[in-house]
Amino acid sequence: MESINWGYVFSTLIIRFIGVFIVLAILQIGMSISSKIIRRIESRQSTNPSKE
Amino acid sequence: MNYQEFIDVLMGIYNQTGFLGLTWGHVVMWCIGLFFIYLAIVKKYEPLLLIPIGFGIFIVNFPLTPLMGFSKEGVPELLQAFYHYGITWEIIPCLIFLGLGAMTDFEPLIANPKTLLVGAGAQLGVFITFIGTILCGFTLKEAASVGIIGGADGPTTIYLTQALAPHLLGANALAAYSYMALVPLIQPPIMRLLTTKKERQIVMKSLRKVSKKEKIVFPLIAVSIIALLIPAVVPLMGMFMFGNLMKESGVVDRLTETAQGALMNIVTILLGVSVGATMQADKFLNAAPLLIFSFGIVDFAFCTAGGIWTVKLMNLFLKPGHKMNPLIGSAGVSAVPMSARVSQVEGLKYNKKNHLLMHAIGPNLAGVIGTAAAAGMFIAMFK
Repeated sequence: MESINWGYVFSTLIIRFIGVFIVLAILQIGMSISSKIIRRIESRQSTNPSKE
Repeated sequence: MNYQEFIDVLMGIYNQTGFLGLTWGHVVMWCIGLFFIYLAIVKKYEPLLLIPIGFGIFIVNFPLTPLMGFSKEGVPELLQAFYHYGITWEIIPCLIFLGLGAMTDFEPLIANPKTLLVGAGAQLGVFITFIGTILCGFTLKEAASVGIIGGADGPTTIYLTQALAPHLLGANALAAYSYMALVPLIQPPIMRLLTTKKERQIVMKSLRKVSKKEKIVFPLIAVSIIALLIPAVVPLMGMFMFGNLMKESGVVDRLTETAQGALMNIVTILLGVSVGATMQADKFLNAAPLLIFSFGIVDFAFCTAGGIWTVKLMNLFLKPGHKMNPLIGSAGVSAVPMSARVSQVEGLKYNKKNHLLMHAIGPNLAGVIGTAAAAGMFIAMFK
């Protein structure tokens, strides 16, 4: 049976749990920015429809 | 043929039957297999998976059946081939994610991206269970594979278990799918315990309409960020987002229909039967599966609580009128769309006009990504 370094276990778990938050927070920021850019482009297109 | 030769032939035939090799362990495993088939057919608990898993358990526990071994030439037998090429090579969980992506509408998550954090908070149980399982004598890798059960995501559980502790695959997968089916029983008492009546009556602001362009860009953004931050789960998340891109693009309907229909059905059959087939009496009947099932429910409870606590914490920082109903926090444990439906049902009990389903789908999908992120963290920890 492997010996357990509890200090390592607890610290790595806390870091990794926070890591999950960071990953999803970065995804949230990425989604928010891309949504804003797309919505701005779409609103410009709807106010200035291109002339054919 | 004389009498002795006649008896020898009869004995030879008898020795080739399965009766001689039968043990009480086989009988116990038949009962377990039949129990899951019963749950699927009579109780309608996750029938698409529990019938193949139950049948896999049942059929593989007959002596001398050429299903999970190798021939003398080293060729894998039928279910061994499914298992080897589908699960050991980690192909089936990824193909299931492809199908799930092709079936998923991310609109509620794109409209309210802050619910992604709820999906992260709902991974609390995964990490708490990790500690508990180590205390019970599991190794670090085994503990990680058991912990991920609380994420309520079958393919991710299978993917991680296969990578870290393949000998626990059957028990982990069965615990994950069983508890996913029991979400309507497990979650409501925890939801009521952790929220006040006033919180349960919070009416959330309607979600905005999401444009087609946003839906097309989402899988590309998501897979890019995940690939950069946690490359270990790109086989799963890449397929998930690829399936979603096919769906949202609207130009490959044939591929989308195949991914969400025929392909999904085929891999579900192969996955279920092969997972069930790993549960042979001599390998399965020990204390580990019982411990895994016990930890699984604790894991689910903490994941549910983690999602609810995260919403309550976020509400401290949100302006009035933008607050979230904590009942949607429980949906952070994947189990799509069952846990979102539970949020809807519980919400309606306290306000007949409060429809939380679409709001709960956001954390629900965030939970899928969060569980994969947690799995990626564990894989990175050991490889």
